[in-house]
Amino acid sequence: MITNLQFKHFTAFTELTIDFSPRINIVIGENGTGKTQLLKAILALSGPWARGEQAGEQLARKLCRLYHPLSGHVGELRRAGTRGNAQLSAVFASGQSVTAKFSGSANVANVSVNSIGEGTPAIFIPTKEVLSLVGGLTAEQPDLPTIERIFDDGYLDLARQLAKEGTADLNAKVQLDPRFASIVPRLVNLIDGQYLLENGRFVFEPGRYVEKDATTHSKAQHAQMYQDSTEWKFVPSSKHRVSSGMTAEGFRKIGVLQRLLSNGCLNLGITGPLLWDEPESNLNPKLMKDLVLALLELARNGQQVILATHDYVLLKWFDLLMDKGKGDQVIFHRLYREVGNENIQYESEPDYSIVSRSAISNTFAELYDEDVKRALGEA
Amino acid sequence: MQTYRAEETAELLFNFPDGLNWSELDKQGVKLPVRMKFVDIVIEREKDILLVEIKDPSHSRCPDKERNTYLRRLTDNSVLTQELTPKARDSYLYLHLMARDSKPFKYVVLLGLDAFDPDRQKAIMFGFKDRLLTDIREESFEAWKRRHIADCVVLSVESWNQHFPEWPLRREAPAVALASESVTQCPPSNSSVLPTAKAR
Repeated sequence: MITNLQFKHFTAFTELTIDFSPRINIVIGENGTGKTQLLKAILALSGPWARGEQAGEQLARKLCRLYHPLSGHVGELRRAGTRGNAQLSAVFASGQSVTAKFSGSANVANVSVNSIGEGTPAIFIPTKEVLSLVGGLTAEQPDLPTIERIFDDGYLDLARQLAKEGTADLNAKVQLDPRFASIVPRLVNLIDGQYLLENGRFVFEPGRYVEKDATTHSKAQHAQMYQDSTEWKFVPSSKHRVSSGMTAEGFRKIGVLQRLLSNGCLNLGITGPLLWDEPESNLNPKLMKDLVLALLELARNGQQVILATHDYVLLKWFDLLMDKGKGDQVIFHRLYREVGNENIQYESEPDYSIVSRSAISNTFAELYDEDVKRALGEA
Repeated sequence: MQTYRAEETAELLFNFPDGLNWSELDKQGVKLPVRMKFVDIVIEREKDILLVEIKDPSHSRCPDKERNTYLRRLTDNSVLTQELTPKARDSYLYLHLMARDSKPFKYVVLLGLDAFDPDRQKAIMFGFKDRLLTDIREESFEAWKRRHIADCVVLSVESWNQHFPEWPLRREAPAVALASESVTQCPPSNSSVLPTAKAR
């Protein structure tokens, strides 16, 4: 879990300090204000690349594979037109802090870590869906140079994580762990099926989670069972499984979350932050409410979540569904530029009101105004 | 300059310039077609005719309970389907039969929402226009074949003044309302309850 992030002269940022909520963090800002860069930096600083004897070279290489600088040198990630080295620092809940510095001409970073430990690697879900790419990206003899030219490490890391075999099947986890029972059936029923790894590729199995043996219990038994803990089981609706590529892209994004939970890559309370860049892309707005409920549930079970979004519907659902009584702590982080100042500014609030100052809200007001103008013949 | 209130106790006061071609449709004290529901006023412009319906849940004498009830009816589509859409249809039909349909009709719904905070106002207005236009065009199991209403807008007092600066609108309690405690101030939940008097 990351508690604090600082940048100096790094990519789009001259100076930035962010304190994170241990639960939900939502980063908003127009295009070009560095939202994705911020998520990728957390990914880089959380992982094993930023630790150990070879950290300077490994982290520099990782940053290059995440940001794809034209020259292929990490030095290019230093903010142009500023003086001093680029610096990235992260502080984690364990107390460990990692700082990386590099000059504009550097090939390696100077990395310092204040304590020994492996850190807790983050999981990054990029904008485009990855599930259908797993077969190609993790093939036995992949053409790595080509793959790495096309996809940055945000995609490749996730593909590798998705391809990991799970220690237990999803159904068993749902039975054994109440934390999964509150999340996985919701995700599966949201898209009427689950994704399974078969021969290195993902397939979609239609079906739904139903309450186990619900029909055989009396109402009183049923109520008691519900109180104890609801038992769920997956019931396939068809024996016919389809290739993941045949399913909607928005469904595959939900499938990513299903898979990460089932194979243990997303281990609630243990895994580092879940970084999700624009969860809304390709997602039917009707699915958004349940996705937000699932993310809140993840956070309630100890998972730190950091999202970057442009989407008003997603933000509004967080505003409406967050429940401080259940310990929800949502922080809205806003990145923005002021007119006449190229430096990215930052503000944060534990309150949705910050959204009303953002371009997202302005866009809706603009839509409304344009609509009125057109209707009244003023356009 | 002429002034207009939708009813004697209404607080929303319009100022119309003398040359403006406008009229009340929902007249009092005259025989009107049975069971027809009309918008408050009709304004003829150069290229279109505006049908203006006024709803004011922000009236200062509207009790909070009634205001909140009305707000719920605004957001759950009941005001839209039971009042706003029938008024647009009947007003169009009346004007058509009176041979006053030479220009496209635009439906303007003025919502006095200034008693609510800006977020609440946006939440109410957001999507309201799209839902209203859809309902106007498809009232039954199939859509009307004619597009009797060319377009519609939902305006607040503030946006009315932005778009029609030459027809200023302000909130001003009428003297008569202060003297009368018994008059219903809120928008009637049953649209057949017509205003009791009009002032010009």
